[in-house]
Amino acid sequence: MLRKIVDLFTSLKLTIVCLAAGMALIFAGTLAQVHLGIHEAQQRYFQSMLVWWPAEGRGFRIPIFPGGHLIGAVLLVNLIAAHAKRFRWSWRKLGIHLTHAGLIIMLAGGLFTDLFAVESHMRLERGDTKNYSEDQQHMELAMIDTTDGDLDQVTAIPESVLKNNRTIDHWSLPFRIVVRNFYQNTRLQMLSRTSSGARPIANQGPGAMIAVEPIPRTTAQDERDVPAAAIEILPKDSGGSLGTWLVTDALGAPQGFSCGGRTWKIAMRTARYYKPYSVTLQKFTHERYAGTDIPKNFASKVTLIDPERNVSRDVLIYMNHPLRYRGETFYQAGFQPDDRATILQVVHNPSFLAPYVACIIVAAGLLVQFGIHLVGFARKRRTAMA
Amino acid sequence: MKTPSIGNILVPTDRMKQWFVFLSLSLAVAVLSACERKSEIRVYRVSKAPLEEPGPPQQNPMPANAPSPSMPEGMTSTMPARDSAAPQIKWKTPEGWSQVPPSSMRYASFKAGSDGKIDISVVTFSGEGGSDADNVNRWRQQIGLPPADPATIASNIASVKAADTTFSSVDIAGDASRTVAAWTRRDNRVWFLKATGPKDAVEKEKPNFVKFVESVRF
Repeated sequence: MLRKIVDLFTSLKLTIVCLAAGMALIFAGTLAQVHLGIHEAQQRYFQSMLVWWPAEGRGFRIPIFPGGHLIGAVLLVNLIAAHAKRFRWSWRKLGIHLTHAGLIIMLAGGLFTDLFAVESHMRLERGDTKNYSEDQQHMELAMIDTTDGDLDQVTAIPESVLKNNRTIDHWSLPFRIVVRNFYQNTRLQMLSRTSSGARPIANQGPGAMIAVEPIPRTTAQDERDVPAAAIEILPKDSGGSLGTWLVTDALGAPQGFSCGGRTWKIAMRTARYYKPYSVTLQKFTHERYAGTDIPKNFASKVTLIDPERNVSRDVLIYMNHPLRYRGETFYQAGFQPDDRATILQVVHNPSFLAPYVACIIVAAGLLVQFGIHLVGFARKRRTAMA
Repeated sequence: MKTPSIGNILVPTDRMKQWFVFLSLSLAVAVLSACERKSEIRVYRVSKAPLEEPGPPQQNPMPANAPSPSMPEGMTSTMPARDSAAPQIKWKTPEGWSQVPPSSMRYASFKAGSDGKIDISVVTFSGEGGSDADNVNRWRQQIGLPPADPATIASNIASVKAADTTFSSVDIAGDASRTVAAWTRRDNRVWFLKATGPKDAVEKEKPNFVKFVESVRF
């Protein structure tokens, strides 16, 4: 049995099948971007184990094609396995071994970046201090226990959990959340401004005065969806209901209620990543080429404060000079139209060194291989001339 | 590692195969744990802070050679509440007011009065933005007053002159709260400036609010 598995994973036919499947997937995924937009297409086709049909809905679904993660992982295992099986150590093949090792590191690095890298943004106005960054592509439902004086306890429920579960029962919450409706993208209107017949999907808070109109998902790269959900709050200790609430980030202010003797706030917001340090914007400079509006340089002078490590220092973040701290990289990514705020891109990528290491190893491998051939050729010529 | 060798050539051993199985399994575990991690519910404690809203959409892109590794900036919401097409307006912020991050429905927000109890908002919509009577009645409802008939409302509307437009304004007081609002329609767009808060505090702040309205420049 093990023999058969090893044979399968070391087979060169599997490499061909994976490469062909990869090509088909890239073709289908590229076409799908027309209707789905780049982020959704990337998630469904490339950042998944399987491509499902139908893609939406909670009902019956079947996998129709391997996703990018599966193809990449199988290809990587195949490359390592085939290399291990056919491996014959010889100094003459050192260059080839190095080149292969470099490729393996590059492939593995790509897969790990895709799996573990987190991209988010930090928007700071002058004087602002923040200890979290936000992921504009993912929303979360934050259930915040605000009862205690100094600290809030936050239970952050990702959008995907809201979308795929009818009932959410978590140890940190004294109530169950029943998801009555979930819409990926919506337009909100005050009920008083809509035609008669429009009905609210919630009966508590401002949601009771708002009509929610589901609209197709946005496919533009510079826009994002406005997901909305109607959730019912059911206390665990009693059989009652605290009503149905509309949650969407378009509402602005969080809504509040009491349950289990504690005060709660609900907010649908962009997913947040908190950090053990804070960043304060001291100054943002935006230089233009003389006489034009063409940007020449952007720079953010920030103060980094990390009480745990006793760090307090000023850093200048500008083009090609990101701030690297505690495994995260802060790039100068943008600014607001009137230069009121700077936007820093925050990237956490544990395998960011992989492409550099891989390139060095591949280059070294090629040099060694060509060097060996060159030396051999030179020797042969010398012998022939002698 | 004891490895059978023929000359300087090595052949794979059982130990190598074990390594291969181990590598494959750890890869599979890594892939599965990453998938799991992205959809898990997180619980954490943070120090109290006002919930900040995302700022207005960014319009100026970075130059093409910017180092940003991916993803274009400036996610705009597809919801119409805060209109990204709205032109920039200017004003002079009165002393004692502090600007706070606007919610997605607003163009700008301020806090004023002792303890920041007065909420001042600047909101804009394209089009007419409803009739004056509807709007005033909505504000009346917000501070617990019954609706009034359009004729009464019309007689209570006063004008406030700014540099390049004239605002209509009302001052409505409920039992505990009071709202002073001013609005103008310009270039097929309506602008609402509104201050709401405890009755006495708004009374004190009203001259500042009027100055604020007068200072608006399009």
